[in-house]
Amino acid sequence: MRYKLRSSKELFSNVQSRWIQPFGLLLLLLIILILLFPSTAIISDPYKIDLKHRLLPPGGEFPLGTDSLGRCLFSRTIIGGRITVTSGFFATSLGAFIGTVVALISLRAPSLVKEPLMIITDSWLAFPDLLLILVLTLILGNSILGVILSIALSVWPWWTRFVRNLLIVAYAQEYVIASRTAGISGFRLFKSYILPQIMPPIGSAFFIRSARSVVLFGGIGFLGLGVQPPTPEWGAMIKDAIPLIPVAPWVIVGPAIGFMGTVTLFQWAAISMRNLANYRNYSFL
Amino acid sequence: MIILMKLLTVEDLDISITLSLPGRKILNRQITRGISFSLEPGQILGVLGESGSGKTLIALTLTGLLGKGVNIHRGVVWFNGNKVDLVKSFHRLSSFRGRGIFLLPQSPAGALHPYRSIKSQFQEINRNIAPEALIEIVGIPGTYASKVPSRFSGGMQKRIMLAMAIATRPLLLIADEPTEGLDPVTKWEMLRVLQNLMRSNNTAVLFITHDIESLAAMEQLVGIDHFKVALFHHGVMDIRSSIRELKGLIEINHTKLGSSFSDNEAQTTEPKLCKLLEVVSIEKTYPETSKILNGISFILEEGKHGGIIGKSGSGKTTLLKCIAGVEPFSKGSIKWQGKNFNPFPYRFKGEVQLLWQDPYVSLNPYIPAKDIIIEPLGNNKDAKHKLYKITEIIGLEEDSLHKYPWELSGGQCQRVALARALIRTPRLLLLDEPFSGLYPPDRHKLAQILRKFCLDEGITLLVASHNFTIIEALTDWVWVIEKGKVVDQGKPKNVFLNPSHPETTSLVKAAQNFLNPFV
Repeated sequence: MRYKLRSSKELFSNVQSRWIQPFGLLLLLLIILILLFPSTAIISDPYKIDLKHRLLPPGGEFPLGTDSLGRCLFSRTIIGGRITVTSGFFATSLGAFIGTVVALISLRAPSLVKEPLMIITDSWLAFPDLLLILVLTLILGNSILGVILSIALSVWPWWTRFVRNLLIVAYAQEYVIASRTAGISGFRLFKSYILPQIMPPIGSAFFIRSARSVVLFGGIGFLGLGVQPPTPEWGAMIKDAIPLIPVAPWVIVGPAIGFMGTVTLFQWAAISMRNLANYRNYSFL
Repeated sequence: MIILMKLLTVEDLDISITLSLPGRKILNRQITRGISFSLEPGQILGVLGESGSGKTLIALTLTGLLGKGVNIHRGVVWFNGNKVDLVKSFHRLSSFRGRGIFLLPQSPAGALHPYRSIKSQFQEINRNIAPEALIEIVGIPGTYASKVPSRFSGGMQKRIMLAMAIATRPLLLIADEPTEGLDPVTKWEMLRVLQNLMRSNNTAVLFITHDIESLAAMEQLVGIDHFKVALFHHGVMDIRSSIRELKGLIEINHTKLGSSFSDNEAQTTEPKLCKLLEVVSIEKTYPETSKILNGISFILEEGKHGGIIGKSGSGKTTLLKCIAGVEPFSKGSIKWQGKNFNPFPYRFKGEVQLLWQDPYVSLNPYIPAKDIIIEPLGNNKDAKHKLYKITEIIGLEEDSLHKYPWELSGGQCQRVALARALIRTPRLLLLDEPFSGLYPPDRHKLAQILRKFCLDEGITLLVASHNFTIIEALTDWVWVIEKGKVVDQGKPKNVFLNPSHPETTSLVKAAQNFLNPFV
């Protein structure tokens, strides 16, 4: 019997799913659109240096004000967000892809391959990720691609463990075993027996890990690695803004709200992924 | 004032459940429509109903354990002189749990703490009790008390829960399917313990079950004065003073041991005598346990219907899983059509089908019944035609084909599982405790349908069960197994009517306690 008592926490997630989630998804869609077509949202050239308009407060021509070189902060936030968010997204996708491939190999391969593979995975998992990314960035080169690759290379072991565990549990379900004795195999088995089980957790994990990758990418920029000026990037923008906070506090607002918004929206997307599978909880009779 | 003399009175209980289905569809289902009943101390009320009819919800209501999705519309409960209005003060029921009302749950594995020893869980009830003595009452060696629940079989866990009930000495015991999945010997022991508890402590029992034979046995044990039975059907309770009064309301075929042998023998046509399956001294050991299968061997000829009978824990399920290729075996071999063949992992590709004991867990909850049934066919163009043919034979309404497994009743689930097993017309069909969770009328209808279909299509059957009526309805040769070994074999008639081995004798003796009450 699957019987589930609801706690107040779950009740809150219900409220979230009913009101905030559609709103959040709409917002996420809007952000993705802006990131895909930045020219529609940019009001002025984000690279144009105009020393006459240094550190202007928000208003008029510049909705978020200008930075110390007189560049429009609104446009820079959007262009910077485009780089930060898409890089985080791509890094997670790449990491998830590598991790899933390794997980599949480790499930299928003979133990001579499997055992060393899992030992490598587990020892890789032992390194702190920011440290690993810093070292890998130095090796792979100080560019956007280099940072994306190093984030992907630091997150894959987590995905290997995660996907591997999900697949083991999914294949061990009694109805999967029953259907295999009934003669169902291969892609058909995977499509209608395994995929419905593993997709909701993988979907939510993808968004949660993406949010983390975005923050990691910003962290690398904050430390002065990765994307180099004059290209705008949220992490680097925050680094530049910190000494200016006493004089011009609005300088930090754009990238800070950008980080907070992205992470929150990714969390909401993760919740809606989880709710995809929730109906199984109700089968208690 | 009459109410005060009764232990439990339920008045006008009206509950419904709300299911949220995928696609935001909301389904409201009425479970009970104003039921009322009462119980006196030392009395037993048997609640008889189909699986999936909501019997368990009554038990959960009385213990105050309902969760979200269940709506109580009306209802008053009087327990031991206290009045509880279920709509206004439902939570007050929880104060009766334990010393007042003890719930013996349907799945004991979920009710026992998995990581703590039985002993420490007993001592939580009362520091001064001796768990060893208590579990010996229910037939488990006292030395086992220091083990954790996972070391026990399902039947043993059920008996441990019953021992806990004895330790608590409740005023009311709610037993939810206490005999499900037990072999006749254990079942009988279980009922005897229940009767002792009622007699020594004057405990009232609410016996919720679909198993009419064990309810009839209970009636024999406690005597007609202390017995009432309620037929729970479509949310209404029909209360009678004796099971015999239900005659006509429930029909049971295959009434007596040995009554169905004659037509079985007539049906047995000249066999082709081709050895379809040969099992040669298979051994199987799970880590850290004794041997589950200990050199079991038999030969099954094509078109024959074989049966395996034995107590729970004798290795029936493991044997079927080894044959179906779900689990590897450690020693011995399997010959398929005369040739050595190792079926592990899943190498039969649909030629051998296994019908699982629990239909609920063996069906994919993510796809509707229709797709579950036709999935083994692959990309067959005839799939639709075959689907309608098989569902017509088995008796599945078209309506239920579009439902998901968790929307179906137990009987419908069992039919879906059976349709999936039969749609490719397998050479060999393995049945593990077939139809054990079903309501008797359903059980016998399905057994007849299955037997006829297999004879028509020439499907070989291998049935593992501890239920004599199922074995004799389906098979024409039976092997009795004990501790993973064949100890006795023969035609069901000879084996059951003139048992020669002590294991067979004890099984037959116990089975005679669970005969059809209407004859």
